[in-house]
Amino acid sequence: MTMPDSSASLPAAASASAPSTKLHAVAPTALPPGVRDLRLDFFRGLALLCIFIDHIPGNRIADYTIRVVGLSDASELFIFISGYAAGLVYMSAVAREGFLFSSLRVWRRVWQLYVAHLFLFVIFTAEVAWTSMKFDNPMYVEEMNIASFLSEPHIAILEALLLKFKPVYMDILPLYIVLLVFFPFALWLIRQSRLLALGLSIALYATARIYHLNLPAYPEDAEWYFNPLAWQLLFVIGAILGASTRTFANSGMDFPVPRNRWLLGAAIAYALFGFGMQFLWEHDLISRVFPHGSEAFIFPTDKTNLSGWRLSNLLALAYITAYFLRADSPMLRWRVFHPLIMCGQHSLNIFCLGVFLSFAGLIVLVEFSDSLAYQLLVNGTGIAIMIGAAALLAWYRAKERMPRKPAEGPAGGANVKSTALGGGSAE
Amino acid sequence: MTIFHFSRRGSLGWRTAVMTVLLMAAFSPGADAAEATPPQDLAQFCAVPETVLPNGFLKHARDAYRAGKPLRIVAFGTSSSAGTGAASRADAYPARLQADLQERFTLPAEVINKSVGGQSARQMTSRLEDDVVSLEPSLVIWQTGTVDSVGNLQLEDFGRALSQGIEMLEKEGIDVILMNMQYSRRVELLVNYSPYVDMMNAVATQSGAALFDRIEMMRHWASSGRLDFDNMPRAERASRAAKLHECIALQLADMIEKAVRR
Repeated sequence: MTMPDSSASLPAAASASAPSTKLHAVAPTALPPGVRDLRLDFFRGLALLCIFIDHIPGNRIADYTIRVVGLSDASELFIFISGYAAGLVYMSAVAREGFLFSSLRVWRRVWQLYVAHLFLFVIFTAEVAWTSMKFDNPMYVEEMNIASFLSEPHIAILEALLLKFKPVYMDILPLYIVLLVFFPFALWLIRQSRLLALGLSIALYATARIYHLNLPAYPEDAEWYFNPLAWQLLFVIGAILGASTRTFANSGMDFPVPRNRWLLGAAIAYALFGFGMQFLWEHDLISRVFPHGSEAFIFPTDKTNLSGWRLSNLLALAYITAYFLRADSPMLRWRVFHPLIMCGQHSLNIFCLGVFLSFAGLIVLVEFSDSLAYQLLVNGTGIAIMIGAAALLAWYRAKERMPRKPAEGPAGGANVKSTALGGGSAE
Repeated sequence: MTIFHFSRRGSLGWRTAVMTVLLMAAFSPGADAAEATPPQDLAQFCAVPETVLPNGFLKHARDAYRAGKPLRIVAFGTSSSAGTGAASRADAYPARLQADLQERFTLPAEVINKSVGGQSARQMTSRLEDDVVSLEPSLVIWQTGTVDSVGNLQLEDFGRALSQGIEMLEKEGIDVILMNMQYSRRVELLVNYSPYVDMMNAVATQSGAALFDRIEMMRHWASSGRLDFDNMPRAERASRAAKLHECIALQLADMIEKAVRR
């Protein structure tokens, strides 16, 4: 409901940026265009850690991830931020390098994601083979039917290559891949008219929901856990906002939606409602609070088709966050947040590592014990490995660029920075 | 199957690597729990925390009981209700439940097992008429969810199948206890149960069906070391499976007794 309003008033963001220009004037370190919006890295890093924790089944720590905040969870956050970053980066890339070149860059990215997904698929297959070898308790014969694809590997591999076969917890990369494959088209639309892009996206979302359309999956009667036809809406909304940031807001750095107290009030009210509902659901209190049947409108929230409750909850949270947390907020430079930001800056690597680590973590819990001590150990070790890997990647990337700097002199410094941004920030 | 071959050496190496990385040495394995011997008292052994305790309103079963009619129950499930993995069908919880109920009530009680392995909830609904309604029970224990989550079948349709089935049974004057999946950490590694578990919770709340939260019960029995099937020596499996079915039957009998006598 809020979306048409906010996008219609996108141009108003220019006037809304007046207070922020003032802020920039006060702050000696005004952010020049071409510097990363650390909020994106921060929240993407947060989403990645939450996805790792949420993907360990039976993990007691998972009761305290971003899920508790409301009806939406880390998946929405991840897709929204990815859309926002894609809009932000590729919009300026198109202006700089032309449409064809930018599209090819998007598709090169798609290729990387695709390869990463297949790599994770191989790990999953090994996992299934290992489990079915070790765990042949006849009590679980129906459950171990999960290994049935091993009896027709030629088909399973083909279906995996077609992204139709998506093993457990491997749904989000295929979604991201499909979204990015069509992203150049969306970008072209956004460049023509933001309203048109949003309108078409909403129309596709509505059609998919009304007619129950989803992409085909394997085995028969399975479905995409994240329906791309529905989830594209969140990605496109993110992309439109990201694409508008540089074009409309002269400050270049703020959320391109007007700062309006009423809008803020509505967002906070909705976020509180979402928090309350989620709390009641998680604690099995919902049937006590609501008269019989009335909660049916909300629960279980349809994650596959991105129910409106989830979508609007994420947008409300994003608005509140952007209202209070500015892109140049010194808080983002606090040391405690640095690990999260580093994870967010290497999101593909850290995401894949996270999926692998949740597997490894569960193996430890299965083979040894799933007492609280072990759960804390597994979560802690996993997070430490993810942060450590992100730090190594950051160090490696910086070191790789180092030799150029002295040769190019001080003027070249800015240049290196902007190419670095072009190369890496969508990711 | 053949192309996914692992040498024993390879898999051990992997395991060792994982162990090393995670500095296992600092923690003692939870062997103390696994070796605990079951107490003599079955009720004590099968006890579960209040939060998992099944509780439900069974109107038609209660009416039948009050009218002095025999209590007829249909166990309507898949492999785990048919008794696969237990020594025999007679060891599965439906047969034990019948024996247990006959001890508790003076009225005759029977539990008819109409379970067929490998069926999804949708497939089961087409069996409802012949296998449940025609027998005129006052209560059906509908165990489902496993096949749907293993096959990653459409969640919405799973929910719809359940609601439609429950609605139909309600019209016929039959109460429903929904029973969800069996717990296993190894299976949880490969199958995402949670959307289906949530859906069953929601359908139960919205339709007024009772819920038997088997997966949480088994999780409790596993984590307290009483019945941990994930790392169980082959020799113990049959006897422990029998114990599991005894516990499920006991919890069901408690639940039913409480509901019809209230």
